Amino acid sequence: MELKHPLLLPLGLVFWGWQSDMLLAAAVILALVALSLRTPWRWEMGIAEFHRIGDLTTVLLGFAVVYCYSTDSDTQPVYQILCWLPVLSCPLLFGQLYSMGQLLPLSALFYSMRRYGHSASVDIRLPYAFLCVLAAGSGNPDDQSYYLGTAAFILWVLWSNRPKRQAGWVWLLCFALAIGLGYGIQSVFISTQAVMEEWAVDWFSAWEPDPFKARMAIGDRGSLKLSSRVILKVSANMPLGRPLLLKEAAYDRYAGQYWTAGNALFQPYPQPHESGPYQMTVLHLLARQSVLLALPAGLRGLAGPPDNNLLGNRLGAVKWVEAPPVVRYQIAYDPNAKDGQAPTPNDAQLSPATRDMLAPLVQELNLRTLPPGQAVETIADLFATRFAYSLDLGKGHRVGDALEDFLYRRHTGHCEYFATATTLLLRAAAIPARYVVGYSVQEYDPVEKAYRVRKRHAHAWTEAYVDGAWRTVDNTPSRWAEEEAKSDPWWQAVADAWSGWASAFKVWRWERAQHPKQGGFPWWGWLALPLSVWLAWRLYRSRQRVPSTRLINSPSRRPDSSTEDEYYRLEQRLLASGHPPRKPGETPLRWLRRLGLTAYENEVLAFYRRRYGYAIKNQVTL
Amino acid sequence: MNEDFQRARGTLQNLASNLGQIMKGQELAIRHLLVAFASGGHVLLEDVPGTGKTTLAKALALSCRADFQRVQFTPDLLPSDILGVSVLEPGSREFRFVPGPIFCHILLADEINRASPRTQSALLEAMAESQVSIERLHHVLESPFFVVATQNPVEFHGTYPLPEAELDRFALRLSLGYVSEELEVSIISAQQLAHPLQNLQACVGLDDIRHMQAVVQTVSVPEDLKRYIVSIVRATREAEGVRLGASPRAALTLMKCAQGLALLDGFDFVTPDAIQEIAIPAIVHRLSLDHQARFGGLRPESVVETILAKTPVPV
Repeated sequence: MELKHPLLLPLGLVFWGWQSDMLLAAAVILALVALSLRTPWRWEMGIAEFHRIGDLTTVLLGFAVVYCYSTDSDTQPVYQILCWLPVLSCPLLFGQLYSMGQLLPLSALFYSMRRYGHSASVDIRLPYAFLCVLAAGSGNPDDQSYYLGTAAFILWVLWSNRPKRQAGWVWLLCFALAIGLGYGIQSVFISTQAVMEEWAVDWFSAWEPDPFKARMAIGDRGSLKLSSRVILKVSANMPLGRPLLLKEAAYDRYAGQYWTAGNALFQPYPQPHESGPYQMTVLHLLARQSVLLALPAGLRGLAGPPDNNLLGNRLGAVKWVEAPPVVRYQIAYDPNAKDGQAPTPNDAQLSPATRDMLAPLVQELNLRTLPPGQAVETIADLFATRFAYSLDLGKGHRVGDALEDFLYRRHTGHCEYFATATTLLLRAAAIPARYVVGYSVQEYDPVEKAYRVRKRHAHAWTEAYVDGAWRTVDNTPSRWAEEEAKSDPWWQAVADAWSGWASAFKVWRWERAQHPKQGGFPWWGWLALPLSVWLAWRLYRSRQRVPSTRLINSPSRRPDSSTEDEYYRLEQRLLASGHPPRKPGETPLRWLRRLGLTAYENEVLAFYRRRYGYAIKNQVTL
Repeated sequence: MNEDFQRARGTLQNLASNLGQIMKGQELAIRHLLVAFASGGHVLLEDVPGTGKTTLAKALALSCRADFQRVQFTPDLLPSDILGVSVLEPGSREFRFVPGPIFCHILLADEINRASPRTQSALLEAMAESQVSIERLHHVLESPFFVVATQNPVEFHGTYPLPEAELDRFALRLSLGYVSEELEVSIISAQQLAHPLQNLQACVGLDDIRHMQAVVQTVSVPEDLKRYIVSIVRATREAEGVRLGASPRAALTLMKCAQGLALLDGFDFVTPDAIQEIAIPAIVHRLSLDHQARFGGLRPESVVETILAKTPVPV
């Protein structure tokens, strides 16, 4: 099999190695490719062996996908897989190069072709070279070398296949035009992407917990979209009787659609080390550089993060900076403990417009005159009896109007409405109050024996300063979680199982990395080593190994002819003296003429007579 | 090597040297023309005007002591102009069949693609089965029956492309091509006073031709070379860019022509070299490429060349 561009494969490999920093792997593959040209032996591989190679490649790819998606890395998993594609698919290449047929049956690549018994074969070298070029794209360097290199590759291949009707320069002009156009379009795409990313980051940051500022969906239109992704795992030393609220951040200043934390700079946080009746371990599945810890009220002890990496603010938010990939900490808490930190003027702040808006309700409930404890109960009664939970955001309003609409007309809303309204009503009743965001822990997973906290379990509630201590007030109707669970897709169980498995694997690897003394050999090596040794042994021992000199003569040798014919000895002699072998489609006579050995022609003609002249002659009948 | 074989080979060599006098520098075309003649196949000579197609065909006809007819194909030619027609005899008041020019041994169908497909099709039965059916009567043509058609490439003005069925009935399609500058000078010098055809003497008789055609059939073809022929022809049906591959008739023709070539070269058996030599003129005109491949510059010749390079030779 002659390749039109024999240099394309090695150059593709070098390009890939250079662009994606895989020079070592590229060199190994290149060496094996070169070895296939120098060694005379080939395997006689049947279709079944090729199918096995195809299966092996599929398994390798599957393994790589699982590995890349279950481990953390700076690069995205899809780019890692792209980068390793030439390595993952090299069994196919070597299968072809070291086989007698020198072609790869397409059925090794497609199961559908195996079923219907198609028998087309391809030369995989050119597709493999282009796979290398594709994989080189994963390197993504800042300069234009990838674009130029790829353009050169395409030019090289297309040049020999260009339409013959046109002059070469016309074609080159068209090609240059296409490459220039492609370059312009991709530049536009890149700048558009930058703009879009900025815009998206702005939009999504509204959903990320920010210890200084919380944006609410109050006043938005449509309905709230909630993700069921599991983001926390909480294992407690005893079952939780009712949903436990874990606080991430608290805010004391209200401004329209935002709650902000005034004068709440983060400072080094002294870790409490007391013990409490309840203990739990919290595992964050979405690791970031800096993580806001989810903590219950009445925190007594916190263990796990190193002291220097913890920062806290006066409103009770605690941040773990420079967090490791696995964020896990132990908590001891006592729900009955009192937090006696004095309120600040911020906790009572209420704009005149809001005060006017709330005035009729304050009047009706007589909040001003009630003692603080009773005022809290009255407000809770109000929301429990007259209000309902809904994810429907309504038609959309200005924020102040939206809250008024919620309180006096619609009477339905989600937790942000309830928490904001409660906080503001308490302030109107002269009780200091804060707006708190965090998670509600309530979904128990019996398999993992831990609580699952999903993104949609994010919650908002109120802390009120009553009788010299801060008290948690959650006036959102208790069936909110059931309401939100309705938005789960039917395949949620599969996604949960996967996330459970992936997080367990991640923790396990992290723990192993924390204890390197367990052995320097990579864990997957124990799996791969015996497998590859066994495969190599089987291939080597295989009886199908034959020297490639026989390959040339293999098709349908005359059964009764002796291989001791003088011509075959001549052929062996010529091969041994370094002449290139006869191509499959070449007759012996043409081969000798190509080699310039016309002196042997008579021997070949005599061989022809012995070889082809044996058939029974017919009589001439006139 | 027996006497029959020597005699048949002598006939071929006489014809070759006779034609060589007329057509300078066209040894390969002469060789292939004679191979088709010896194996009983018909030949289509395709080339641009003025390269000597008609001269070559006429030279072959004149070299044989055989009945030679020539039909100049024109757009208004009718099938009956070739096959013959029944005319009313005024005396006996009966219809009498008057045979057309097709009743001959060597028919030169000049510029065959200038006639309409209707007229071109008149040749189908005669070329395939050596018989003509007119008005419920079968007229068997006398052996040998050999058609040499000439045509200009289809891109030229005023031509009708031959239908695939008609093309398939030609054993070989040959083209002559331009000769070298020296030869062209010698050709015009030779024709300064008289056309060489005027001095050409017939060198073989009808018996010689029939004998030669019978001997060609006895040239032996080993089983694995038959398989080789079939695998080449079958590969054209699966080749990329080919809409219509070569027919089983192509395989048969390839074998017969390889037999003829072996005889001409002095072998009483077919060699793989003979098959490879004759494969391109025997197959290319039967291939129909799809539009995209043709537009992309693919030629039927390169399809067959690729197949020859890929198909393993039984050694």
